[in-house]
Amino acid sequence: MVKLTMIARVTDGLPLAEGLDDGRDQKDADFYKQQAKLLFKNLSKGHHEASRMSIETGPYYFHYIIEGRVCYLTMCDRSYPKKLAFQYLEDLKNEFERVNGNQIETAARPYAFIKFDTFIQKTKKLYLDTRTQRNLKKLNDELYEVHQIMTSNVQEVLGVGEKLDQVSEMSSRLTSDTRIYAHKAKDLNRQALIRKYAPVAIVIGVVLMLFWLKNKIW
Amino acid sequence: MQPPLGNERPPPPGRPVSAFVPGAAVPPPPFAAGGPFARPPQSGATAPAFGAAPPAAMGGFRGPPPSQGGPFGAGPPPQGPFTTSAPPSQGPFASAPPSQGLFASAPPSQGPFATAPPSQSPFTSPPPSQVPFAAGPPPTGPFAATPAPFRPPPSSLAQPQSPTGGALPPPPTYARPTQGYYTGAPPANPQFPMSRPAFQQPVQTMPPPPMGPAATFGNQAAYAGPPVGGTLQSLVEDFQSLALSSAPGSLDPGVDVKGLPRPLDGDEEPVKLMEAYPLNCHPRYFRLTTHVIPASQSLVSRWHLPLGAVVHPLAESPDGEEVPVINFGSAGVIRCRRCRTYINPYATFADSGRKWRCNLCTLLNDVPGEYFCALDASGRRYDIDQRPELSKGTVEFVAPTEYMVRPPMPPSYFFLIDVSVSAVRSGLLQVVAKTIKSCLDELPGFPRTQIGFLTFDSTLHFHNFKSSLSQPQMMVVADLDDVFLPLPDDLLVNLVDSRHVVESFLDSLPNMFHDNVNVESALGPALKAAFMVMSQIGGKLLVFQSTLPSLGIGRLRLRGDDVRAYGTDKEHTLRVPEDPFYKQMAAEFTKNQIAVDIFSFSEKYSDIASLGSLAKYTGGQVYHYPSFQAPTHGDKLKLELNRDLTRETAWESVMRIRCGKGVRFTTYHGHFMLRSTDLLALPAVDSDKAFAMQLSLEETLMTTQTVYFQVALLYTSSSGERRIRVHTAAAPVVTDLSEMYCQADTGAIVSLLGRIAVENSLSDKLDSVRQQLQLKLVRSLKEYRNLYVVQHRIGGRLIFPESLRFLPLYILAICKSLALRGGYADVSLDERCAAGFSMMILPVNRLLNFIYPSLYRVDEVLTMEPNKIDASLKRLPLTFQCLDTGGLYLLDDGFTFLVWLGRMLPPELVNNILGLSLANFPDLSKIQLRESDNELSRNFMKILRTLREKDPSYHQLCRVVRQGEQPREGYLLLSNLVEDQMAGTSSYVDWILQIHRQTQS
Repeated sequence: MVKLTMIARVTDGLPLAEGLDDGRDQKDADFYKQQAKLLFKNLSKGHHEASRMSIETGPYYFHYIIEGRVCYLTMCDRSYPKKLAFQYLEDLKNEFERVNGNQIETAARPYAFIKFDTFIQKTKKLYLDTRTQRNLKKLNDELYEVHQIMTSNVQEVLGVGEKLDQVSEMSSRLTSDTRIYAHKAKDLNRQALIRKYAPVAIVIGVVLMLFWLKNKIW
Repeated sequence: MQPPLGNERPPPPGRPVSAFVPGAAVPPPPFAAGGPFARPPQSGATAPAFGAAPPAAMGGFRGPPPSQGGPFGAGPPPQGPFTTSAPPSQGPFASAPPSQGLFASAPPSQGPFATAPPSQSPFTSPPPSQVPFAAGPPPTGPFAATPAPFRPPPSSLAQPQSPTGGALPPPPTYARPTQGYYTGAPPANPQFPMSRPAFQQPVQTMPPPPMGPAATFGNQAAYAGPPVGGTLQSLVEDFQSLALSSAPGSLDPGVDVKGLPRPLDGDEEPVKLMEAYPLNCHPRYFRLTTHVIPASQSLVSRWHLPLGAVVHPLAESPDGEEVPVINFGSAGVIRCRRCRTYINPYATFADSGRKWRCNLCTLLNDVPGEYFCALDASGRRYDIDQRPELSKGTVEFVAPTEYMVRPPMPPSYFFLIDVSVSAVRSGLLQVVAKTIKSCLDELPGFPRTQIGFLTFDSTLHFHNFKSSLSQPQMMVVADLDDVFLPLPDDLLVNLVDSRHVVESFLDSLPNMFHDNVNVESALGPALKAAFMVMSQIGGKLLVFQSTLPSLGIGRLRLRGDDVRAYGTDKEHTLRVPEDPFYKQMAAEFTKNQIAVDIFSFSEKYSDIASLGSLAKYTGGQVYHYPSFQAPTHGDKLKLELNRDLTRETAWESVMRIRCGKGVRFTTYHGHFMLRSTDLLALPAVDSDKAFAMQLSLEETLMTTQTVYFQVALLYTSSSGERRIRVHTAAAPVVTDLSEMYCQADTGAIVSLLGRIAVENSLSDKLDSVRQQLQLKLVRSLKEYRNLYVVQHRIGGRLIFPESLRFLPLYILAICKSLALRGGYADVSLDERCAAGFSMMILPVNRLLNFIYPSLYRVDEVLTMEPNKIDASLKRLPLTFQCLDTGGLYLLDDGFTFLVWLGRMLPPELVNNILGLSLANFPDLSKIQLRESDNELSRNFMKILRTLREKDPSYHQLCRVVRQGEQPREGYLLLSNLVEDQMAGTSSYVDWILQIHRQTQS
């Protein structure tokens, strides 16, 4: 059954709507919500391959579809049929686009379409029981093909981002290190120069001064 | 003709010094020294100044001067004659100084008279020995009559002098006006004190231009002290520079009752501050008890009154003054890195606009790139006009995701309705069901609004509102020890989806329990069940309780309002919750963003003290309808419930007040839960709730010039937006105590003192609470007196700053307020507690009106044109003397209207308004006022409507009482006349005397 439903804008990860009283009688709801938000952040950085994807996390699955730069994400039990979950997201997508389609780009504040939560809640109830006639029919319907949908692990997905972050961090560290190295090298060079010529210069200086003194006194 | 003026100070600009001054003051040195003579010229000179005074301040005074100017030569035009005819008239002047003096002093008195019609008999002011005066106007003589002798035809300027002068007593008598009739007169004639103000008036009111409206001034006229000649002069001059104005007089028993200061204009918002600090938020949102911050700890301790603020974060702004909403978008809300202060008009920009300095902690912060704007030569940003957060004291920010722990919650309302026999019998269910049904369309938050109901008596009745049902299903749970929800969903439902089910439930609710004879009430388990239903979302829980909770957890017992407990150390325990269950429950509710409003209807004791603590810690409100009966109280309940449900509400909010270095808010008073040391958790807050807090100095010496305050309320609006409302204010730091007095804000002080007193009454005896209040007042006035007593001879006078002139009366009113008055017999325990809860949340103006209700005389205005009525309603002092037996009076304390019918009131008037005749001795307690088809009744109802519209937060229940109808008159009216002496309490005059005595000791 559906545990969580979230809708966010892909371009900047801004949450647009969320199911009402999601996470009821679920102790770890906050943890998974956090994970979902991380996912959105990853998506907004452009780390996504497919527009439909399932990601496993703990005892649950995240399913999401991306359409029109909006990401519809839900979290279900592992046992919940994938087909139904995606059907559910499709339903949400159709309604959401119909109601708010033209305002999605201009939304400036978080949860700008929170009013959509009533629809989410209603739709969710339809999908609660997998054995209702309606849902069984959907399951048997071959029209909607979900087999190709990729499945990956949440650690991997979040990890990709992490790895990329690491690489970029390393490269930036490298750049800064080289800069420091160059600077230090220049410094050493100068010091070597001083060490090399300083005694000679001092001796010459002293001699010159003696000469000058001699000229003055005499 | 302008030689030195002796001990006179140089006349302030705008005060022409009349030609005769030197004549009077110079010749005999004793005069100058003795003072009395310095006065006449001065006061004579002041007269013209009235004309010159700023119209706003002295409006009322502008009338008289011309007439005065004529005879006295004080006014510029007449001066000519005077000076020209000087040689001859100089003689009389010098020879008969008294006449001069008298003359000069008399005119000013004329001023007040003309302007202050209420005070009669002023004219007896001159020394009794003065025949002409006493003869002319009898003490009670009307005003118009009095001036006559003083207004000679302008053509003959010298004439008036001779008659008067001739009749005057010999100089010696007059030479000591000060002590002369100061001490002597009052006992002789009670009317005498009245006159003093008249004399002193002009001098007194001259000083402070900021003094205010004519009404104030009317008050003042009357209570000002006796003329004290030279002393007064210098005193006044001093006070003037301090913007003080009152130095009321010797408080002999013959104190003038009519002249004492009375706040008949209600609350005075310190709007002047907006001129000095235009970037501050409006005082309706934030008021300091004194709008300066003392620089040192020792000043704080000498201030004696509480130092603090009253915050009304969601005060309704007048139409057209919308709070600007700002969305920072990707820049995020601009806040100080260290102290988290929001950007505000007092923040300064530096480094050509790349940095901004926080005005609270002076940390230099980076300006985000998106927010950058160049600075002009003076360091102002070029875009300051486009950015309200940099030019307005009150703004709202759109909160980004970081300010949300969850998506914005929908507004949700859950009703917990007691359906035991008393609720059914009183007709409560009908009213509640009908009102809720009528409000369904107006509930905020469409289309997300959630609604749910739970009814209970000895069992809990859950109602299933599933949208697919046609009728609601009722499920009864009888297990009170282990409450469970019979359904996981559909107990709290979306209103739009289940509208028809909810409506059909409300239609059938009264009939459903029509023949219920259950007397038990399981409130505790019901609260637990409601908590289970609401805990996911939060929202508002409305509890309709009509009897004492008797079953299950949280059952309360008849603690009995024991007369023997009063006056002992156990007294306060009756006013605090007995069972910790309610406080624990309230803590749980707050944690889950649930606010509880209590509606209590019991005719018997229902332990409001315990029930109210639910509201107290959840930001809720307590409504108390003792002995509710639908026919009489129905309207009140209907309108107040309607207001509660439909007003704009801020959900799941938290409030924090930041202030600059050196000061700290320590104690908070109001309905909230303190989450950390300074974070107020408010599950729901609306425009009817204000909060008060006390301030303390952290450092012994303040080094900054200005202290800034910032109130931030983070909330979810009903439409599902997360917002931050920010009010910013600045106050200067001062090192001078008199400055603190000068900037004091009586309204805020009273509001804070009232709340402190109510809280103290929960841990102390009422008697000692009242004593503490009195002590505070006395100490502060004493301190103020000490500021001046050294330089001035103010022996027999109670002095207090202009800004605190109403404080003594308000403190007396707090002591006599429903929450704190008397003892066992005066107020029932429930009413006392309910009033206490109300006082904790009332905004300043409503609190002032509650403790010092408005009294109007209505019968005179009823016959007027309907559109003039509003303007001609004048507030009267709250004393029985103001009640004329032939009048119809209306007392409005914000919760009740009391209509008082005088004994001699024409029967037809009563007939027209009440629709019945008093001759049959009807039961006035059951009467309901309805508009009937005649002019008087229409006008009367119009008055009630206008008054109700002024304050929509409560609906005033209209009660009618006839003069002499005991005991109703006693507890309805007489106990509200706070200026009168009641059993064990002092009258206003006694109170002032008492305070005065104590300040002197």
